[in-house]
Amino acid sequence: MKTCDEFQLAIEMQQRGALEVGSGSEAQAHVAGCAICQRELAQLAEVDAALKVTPGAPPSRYSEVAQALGRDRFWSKYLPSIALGSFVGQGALLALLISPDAPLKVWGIISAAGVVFAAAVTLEVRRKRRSTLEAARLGVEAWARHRRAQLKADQSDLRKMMWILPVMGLLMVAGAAVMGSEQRLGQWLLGGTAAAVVGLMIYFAAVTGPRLRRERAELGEAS
Amino acid sequence: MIAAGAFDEAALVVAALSSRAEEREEAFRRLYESLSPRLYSVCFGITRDAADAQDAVQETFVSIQRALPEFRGGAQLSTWAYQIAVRAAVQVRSRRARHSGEEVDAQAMDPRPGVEEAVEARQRKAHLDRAMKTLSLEHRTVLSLFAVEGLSHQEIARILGIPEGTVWSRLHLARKRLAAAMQTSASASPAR
Repeated sequence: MKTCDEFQLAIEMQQRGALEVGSGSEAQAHVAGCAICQRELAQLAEVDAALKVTPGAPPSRYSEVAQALGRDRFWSKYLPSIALGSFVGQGALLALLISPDAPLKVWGIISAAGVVFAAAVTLEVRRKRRSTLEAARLGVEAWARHRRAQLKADQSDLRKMMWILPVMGLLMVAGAAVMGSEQRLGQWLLGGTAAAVVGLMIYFAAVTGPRLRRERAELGEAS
Repeated sequence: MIAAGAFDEAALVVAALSSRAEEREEAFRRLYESLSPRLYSVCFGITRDAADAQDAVQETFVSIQRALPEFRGGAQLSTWAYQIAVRAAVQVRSRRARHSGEEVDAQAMDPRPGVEEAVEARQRKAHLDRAMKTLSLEHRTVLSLFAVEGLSHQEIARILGIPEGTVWSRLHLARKRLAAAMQTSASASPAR
């Protein structure tokens, strides 16, 4: 036995040409004698009318979009080189400041970090491109499922990081403390890295965590 | 084929990938003019916030630009743009801590005296906005796509990546929930 919902759906499909006219006769007969269906179909028609009132089309913002496109083109193309150049340049400056006796060693360490950072930036640019292409392959539904699973994993990783990062920071500070004053370079590097680790932890707690929670709430659970 | 604002997608893709900056710029401008009103409508349906919807449209075009060199036409460009727009709208909304509903309420509370129809329309819009916010993303998305003029159930199915029959039943359920939520909203704040 069919429900009122099924009859209503059949009527709508018929009205929009998705069902042949003759095939909806059972539904028509039901609706003609069902006050609930008549009322609900009228409500649905009102909803459709309200939905079709599109929000006032915004004035063209192409100039802003063009600027954003230009910025994105520039950074996607040059960010890895800029990052690398910045590390190499800063490395030279810091090497002279921190370790005037053996500047090449410090410069080498900082430049190597720059190479790693530039490679990571390149990979991130490619990842963004790939993730956009996935949309064409997956469709919204599959993307939402995939993203829900990813968010769950990200939240779990973040919880682990919130334990690991303070421990790392403390170990670095302790390491710097036990170093003798003759190892000033090591103390600088460990102290600086510990500060960066604390900054990262604050960022994760204040920005990343809430954003992941909001996105998970927004995506909800699959029905 | 997506009806409104018809344009030659293949030619536009080629132009957008051109090494000549002016040709590229012109292609993106045409793409923006063809798609942005409908993308805005979808994004607004999901975010229910004009600023968020505009940001989502902007991000959609940035994403299109990023991925266009590897776009092989496995899907229609406009279908792909809608898919990206839905993702962008979800992400823009979750990036912001605030979700303003005040804009709508202020419009409803500030009707010009003597223009009853305008007041009624504003109130209906306010109820619609409140009601949409109570729906799940799944339902808001299907309703937002349905509201885009010229988008058929088949095209909605392609964008969402679900069977057409599922679109029909989901849309029916979403509209029923929306009708119920609009009634609740209307009875909670009776006409002034």
